[in-house]
Amino acid sequence: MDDRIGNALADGMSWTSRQLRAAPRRIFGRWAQRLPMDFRILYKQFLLRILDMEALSVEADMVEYLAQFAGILIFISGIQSLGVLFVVLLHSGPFTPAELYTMGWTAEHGIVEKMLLAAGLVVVFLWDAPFPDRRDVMVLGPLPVRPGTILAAKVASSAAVLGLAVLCLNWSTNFVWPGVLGGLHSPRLCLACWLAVTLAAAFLFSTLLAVEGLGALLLPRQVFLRLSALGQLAAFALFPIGYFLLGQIDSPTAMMAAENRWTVACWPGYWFLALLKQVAGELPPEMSWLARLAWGALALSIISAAAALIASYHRTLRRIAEQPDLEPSRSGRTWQFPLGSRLETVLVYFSLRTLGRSRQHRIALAFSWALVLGLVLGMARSWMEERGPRPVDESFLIYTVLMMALAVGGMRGVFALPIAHKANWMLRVTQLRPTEHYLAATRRVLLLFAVFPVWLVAMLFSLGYRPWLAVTGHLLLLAIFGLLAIEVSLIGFTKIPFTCSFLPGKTNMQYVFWGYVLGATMIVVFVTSCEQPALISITRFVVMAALAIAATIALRLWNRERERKAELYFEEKPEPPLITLGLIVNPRARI
Amino acid sequence: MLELRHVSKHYSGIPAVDDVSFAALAGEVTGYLGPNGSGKSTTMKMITGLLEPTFGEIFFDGIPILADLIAFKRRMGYVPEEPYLYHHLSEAEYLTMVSELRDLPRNQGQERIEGLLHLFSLHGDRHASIQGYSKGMRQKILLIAALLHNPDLLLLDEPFSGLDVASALVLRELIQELAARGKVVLFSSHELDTVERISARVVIVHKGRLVANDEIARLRGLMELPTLEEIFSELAVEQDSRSVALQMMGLIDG
Repeated sequence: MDDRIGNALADGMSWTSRQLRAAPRRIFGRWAQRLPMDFRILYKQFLLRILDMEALSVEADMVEYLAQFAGILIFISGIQSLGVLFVVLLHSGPFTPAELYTMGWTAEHGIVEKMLLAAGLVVVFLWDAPFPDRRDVMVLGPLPVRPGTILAAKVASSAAVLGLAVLCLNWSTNFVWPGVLGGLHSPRLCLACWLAVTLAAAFLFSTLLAVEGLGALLLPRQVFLRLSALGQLAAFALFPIGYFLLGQIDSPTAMMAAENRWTVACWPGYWFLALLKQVAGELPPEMSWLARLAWGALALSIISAAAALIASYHRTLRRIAEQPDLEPSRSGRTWQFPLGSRLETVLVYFSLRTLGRSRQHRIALAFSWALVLGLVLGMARSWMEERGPRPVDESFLIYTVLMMALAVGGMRGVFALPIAHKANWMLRVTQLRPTEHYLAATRRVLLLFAVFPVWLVAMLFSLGYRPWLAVTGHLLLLAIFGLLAIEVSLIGFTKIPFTCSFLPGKTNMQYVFWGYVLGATMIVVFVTSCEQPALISITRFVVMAALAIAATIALRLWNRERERKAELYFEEKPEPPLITLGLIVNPRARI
Repeated sequence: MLELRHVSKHYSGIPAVDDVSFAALAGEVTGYLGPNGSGKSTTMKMITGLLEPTFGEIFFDGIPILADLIAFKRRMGYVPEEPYLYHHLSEAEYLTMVSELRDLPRNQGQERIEGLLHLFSLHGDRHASIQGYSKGMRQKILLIAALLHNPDLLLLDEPFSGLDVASALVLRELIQELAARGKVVLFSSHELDTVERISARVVIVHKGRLVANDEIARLRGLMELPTLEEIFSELAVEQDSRSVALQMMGLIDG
């Protein structure tokens, strides 16, 4: 029975994946055939290079990987729509106009803000993708391809990824919400929702192109690359900050209040909400300036993007060929403060340098750290609202434990992405110590770069909570939880961070995502039902701490025993010396 | 002494290296030659322990290397065919990492790194990222990394690749000096002139099989050919190079 359900699920997912692959060809096939061949080839290449293919195993399937991300957004949209339907069905009697008015603002604001957050993160992920890199210049430079074609293919491939995110995140909500609660205005409201989310995403993408294009045009290439990397990190922080700190004013009255005027004027979420309301014909006259701001900002960003991109592109290609990406430095120091044994120290620094210098790794890590930052900002917000010390509450406990889980899980996840995995021969020929020593170094990386920073932040926030005994108890449990999270994340892990080839599809992103959701739910249940009562009773606390320590030690011993017998591995799927053409797609078809 | 006894490596039943046996002696340089795809790099990787032979055994100083691979790795230096390095590190960081992984005493490791960087004219760029390095500069870093721990066995797969003339001359002298000090040096190269100058003995493989294993002087006498290039052409080159070149011109000209 279980097998049948499993097979049905697998078949269903495989069918969805096939449909997702075939859909663009079905919809745009005839139209696409009219585009120039060189554009089509480059577009496909650039689309599949959103992730660096050199980091992947030979059998990596990028389409499958992107489809998994799309699947997560589709699911989120579906769940939100179900939520709206439940609210409507469970509500006793019809909604009053006042209720509908308030719900409308909240829901539409939510649609715009979520789109802004998701599109913002996608835009930051795409950061350098619309611009040629050295590899593009070296490969395409000698070929008879016009810079304009490269420009068009680059921009189109990035826009396609963003377009897919817009479509997947809104496919259900933007139909269900206007359909259920819009009444006679449903079609117009639906159009307004789609227009607002599309234009919000277009605004962010154009702003990125304008900023990057102007930067490439005005700055020396090395300076541009350095500033661009910093800008990417800053942008990653900006969207969670905006979402959690600025984008939380829901009611129209609060939006129009004088004390919130600057917040509303600064954050694009409100501009595009006003634009949505304007197109839907529901915008209060007091807010028409916000809609004008949205249209103005959009026009400005599109015009600047087009001008900056076209002007810089012709220069950029030549500059990339003429100027090195990195200027040889004439001074510096190879500093290495001891952070454990010599092996641990060298591998900790290797990890630190990889995270600090590799764009791909920073971005992968930033996805989980953006959530951590969001939680920190949420705590900071409630901290600022309170005057003086406050009692240890549920939200403080839940936020800090979630931060710890996200930090350790995110760091462990990014370990799987290699940096120059063909260079790992060096680690293999110099493996002079037992495997467990290498894994001790991995443990040290997690402790220093995930557990310790989160614990430190929690400790700083805890200064505003009372009683001290409960605060100290929570910090102690948090530290034990951090160590336990490290041991859990290292179950079955026998790699050196950043050295093993990556096989997207081996780990299904959807399972990971929903695993995280389940984990977060369990943490909430654990904190409210176990930790909170334990912090007010010494006996319960001692029992709980003893159990947590025992679990950590048991798992540590079990991991150590496994590590003693394990061998380090560097390939998720070894590259076969004989490569088959794979012409038979379905072996069953032969029978 | 490094010794290979009936070593084979099969991929999906197809032999890449087929029953190869030879010995490389301490105190002399052994050249390992063969056309592209003849199994040279596969053999090198088997000797380093990166690949496991399908059949046969490899011995170093009479002990099978797989019996204690870690002890063997301590005594081996390796320059791979392709200069794959961690390009996000600077050369000083990369070499320090190798030195630490090899467990060299810290001061000794740093002293050697500094000295070798000076001698290879890389010291000025030691804090620059490897990403911006030329192929020759990367090759020099590989050579330094292979020499840092003063290995007893040196495996050099195309060590002259990308080097400028001055560095190639230095490396040639260095290889001879290492052999003179009792090291086992096995090196593979397509530069037959260089091999002929510095090697006492050559091993030639063709299509994964051993076709010659002898001292160069003896091979010249046996085959009655004056140069190593002609010996190699006789044993391992099946095509008439002039005829192939003409056929290519015919295709290009249409």
